[in-house]
Amino acid sequence: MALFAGTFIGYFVGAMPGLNPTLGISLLIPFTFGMKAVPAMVLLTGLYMACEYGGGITAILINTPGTSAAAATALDGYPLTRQGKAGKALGISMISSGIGNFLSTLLLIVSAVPLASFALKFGGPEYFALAFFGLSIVSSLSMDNMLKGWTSAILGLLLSCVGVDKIDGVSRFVVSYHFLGGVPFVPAMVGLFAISEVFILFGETEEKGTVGYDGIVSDLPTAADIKFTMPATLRGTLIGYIVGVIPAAGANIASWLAYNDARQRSKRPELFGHGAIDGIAACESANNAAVSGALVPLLTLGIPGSSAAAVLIGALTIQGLQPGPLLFTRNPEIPYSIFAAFLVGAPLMTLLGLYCAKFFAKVTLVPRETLAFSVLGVCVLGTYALDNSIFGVWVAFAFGVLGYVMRKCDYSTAPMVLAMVLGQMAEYNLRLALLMGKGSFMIFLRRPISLVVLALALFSFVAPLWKKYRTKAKESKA
Amino acid sequence: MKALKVTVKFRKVLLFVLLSGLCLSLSGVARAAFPEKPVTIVNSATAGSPTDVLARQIAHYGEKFLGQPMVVVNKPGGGGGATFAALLTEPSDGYTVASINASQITALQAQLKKDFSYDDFEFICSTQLDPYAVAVLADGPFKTAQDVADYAKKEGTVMIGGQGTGTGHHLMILRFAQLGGFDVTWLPYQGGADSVTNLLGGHVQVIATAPATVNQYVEAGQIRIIAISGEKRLEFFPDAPTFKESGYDIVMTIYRGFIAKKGIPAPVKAKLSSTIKSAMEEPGFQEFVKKSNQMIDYMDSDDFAKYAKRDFDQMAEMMKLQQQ
Repeated sequence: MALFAGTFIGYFVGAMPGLNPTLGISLLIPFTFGMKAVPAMVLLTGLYMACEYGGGITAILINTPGTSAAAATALDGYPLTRQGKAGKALGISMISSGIGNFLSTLLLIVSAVPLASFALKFGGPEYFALAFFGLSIVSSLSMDNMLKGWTSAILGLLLSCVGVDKIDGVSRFVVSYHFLGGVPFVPAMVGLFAISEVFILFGETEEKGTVGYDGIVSDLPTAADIKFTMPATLRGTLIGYIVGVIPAAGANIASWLAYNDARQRSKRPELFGHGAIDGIAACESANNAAVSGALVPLLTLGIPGSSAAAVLIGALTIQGLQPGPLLFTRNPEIPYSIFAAFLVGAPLMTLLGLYCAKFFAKVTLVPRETLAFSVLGVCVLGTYALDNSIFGVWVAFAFGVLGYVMRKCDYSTAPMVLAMVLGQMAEYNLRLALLMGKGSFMIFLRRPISLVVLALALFSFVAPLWKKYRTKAKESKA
Repeated sequence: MKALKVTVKFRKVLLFVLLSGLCLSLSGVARAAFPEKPVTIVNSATAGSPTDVLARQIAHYGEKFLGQPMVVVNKPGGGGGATFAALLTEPSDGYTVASINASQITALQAQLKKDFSYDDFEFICSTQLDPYAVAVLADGPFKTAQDVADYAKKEGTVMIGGQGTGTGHHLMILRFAQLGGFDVTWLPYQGGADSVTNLLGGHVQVIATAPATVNQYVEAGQIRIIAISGEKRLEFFPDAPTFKESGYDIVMTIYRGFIAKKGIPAPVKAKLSSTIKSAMEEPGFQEFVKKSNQMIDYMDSDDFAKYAKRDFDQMAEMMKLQQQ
């Protein structure tokens, strides 16, 4: 019962931009006061899981990532919708989410205890390496035009400098106290993706008709599609799970890393960004697997692997349970009921999602003007709800305008969003690592994990450039 | 048909006018008795966080004593700025109060200085008063605060981590270093859990933390507390000495409490303060506090105002220390 309720609410929360899993869990906590610990935790974790499913729906249908982890899903999902294949995109998203979730839960059951110590190995240098790796994805995101891609990313990095600096506590570009915590990320993302899309839709209203094509929108993916995306899904699951385990890296980074990985392995990378179903499969399986991953440090060490998991810790405390190293021995019913809920929940959610996908896909048959206005309404509501303040709405609009201009000038907004996610993480951890290393960069090379990740990052930076160079060389020869 | 519609509409308008007139006259009569409408609590904590839940529990149990509901609205963000702004846009009639903590008041002389002033607010009562703790790995080399100081003197510096820069945690460690005569490299982490992770992972040897954050790790034998910044030892950790016992004159605590906009009528302030006190004495509330491992500590308006002022001035002094 609790699982069903959590699932339904989770779908909704996930699909609403601005309502992220953290907020959803927070809002639901007061309702769990009167409940017993087990149903309460099942309800909340069910919601957490369903959020990551729901986030993909709006990302695909209206280019509005419902959660920040679904930003990468929008890159390929929305183009598919515009090609009239919304049903296929949604179906793939649901199936890969389900597989990601189910398999990662199995991984969680088997490997939670040994992986706990791995999670602790991440300090400043390792997090910097990870953020740097994430940023390197800009290279492959902007295969079409390196200069424009990096311009967009650097703009994002500059924006991520706003706010109170986390090392010295100096206020940087804090125009009003609203910016003390930096440029609020979710409104910015909603603006760049969704509101700019609304403006573009408004521009197209003379063209009659709808966003998708009639007739084929509700076609679900075929068995061949599923088979085709399977490798991407499996790799996405693994990446998502591992990144989820690392305490200060969550579904956000996982989905980008998985997307990048799928693109580099794909036989037709040129399709990415224009509707590649394996791109959707990779990031959706990754952001769902990250949820299970985040539970590893939560259940074994009492350390949250994501901000949503941090709120879950609060919920456990309110139940009178102390999450931490003693949870497994003192209250084994809690982790085991969460495992069970996930294993039962994953297929349930996938079936529910597939069943509903046909109806969801019909959204694309709504006339453009109506759709544009509804999306705008949802965006305003969501960004306001984020912390009950109109400030977020203005930020979203400002970024909407910026996004519109960028897209009209053929600058992709995705590198900017990515840079805003990772900018603060990269800067903070770089400086923390340098403090730890007494000012010497050698600390990055002396620690094995940071060394390996940095090497991967370097490869990921250079590989797309190299590929481009080679194709050019071939062309000139021919 | 059309005529009927008009009459219905007309009746509605008439009813509305009459009702609003009635309301106005009622409010005129009842002005003397606070409260005649629900009281809004603007909370600086995010929805669902332990401190938010605590405020909601107080609101829940306080309704009985206030005779009106108390509604909690969360305005997190801006280091407390969002809450202060929300409080100051309302009249100072006591129908809007705010739940804040010491670090947000301290921010009034740092990041929030240009937007708000300490003198914009009045203190109603405190609800929590927690000391800080200095923690190390249980199987690590440090057993006492003195060990840390000795190590730092020998090695030239010691790395100590904790939440943020210029926070109570940070300032406490700076004071510790000043009194102990050693140098410290401060690693600013992004919260309590982050500090614990870094300590357990061996990325740092010593952390400053809230006692409740490390509670269970101490019980599990992974972490040891070597100093407490309160006046006396804590019930949870009878073995952990205070800084004073270890020979360092450091007494620092972080409070959480309710404030109002300057100019709130004295009887209203007293009513709110006594309501919160009664709510905190309710058995249901006491049980909740025990279950959630929180520590509560009530101070009335006068004591709280004095305490907050002293804390505010002490922080100003220590911030100078930080800037050196």
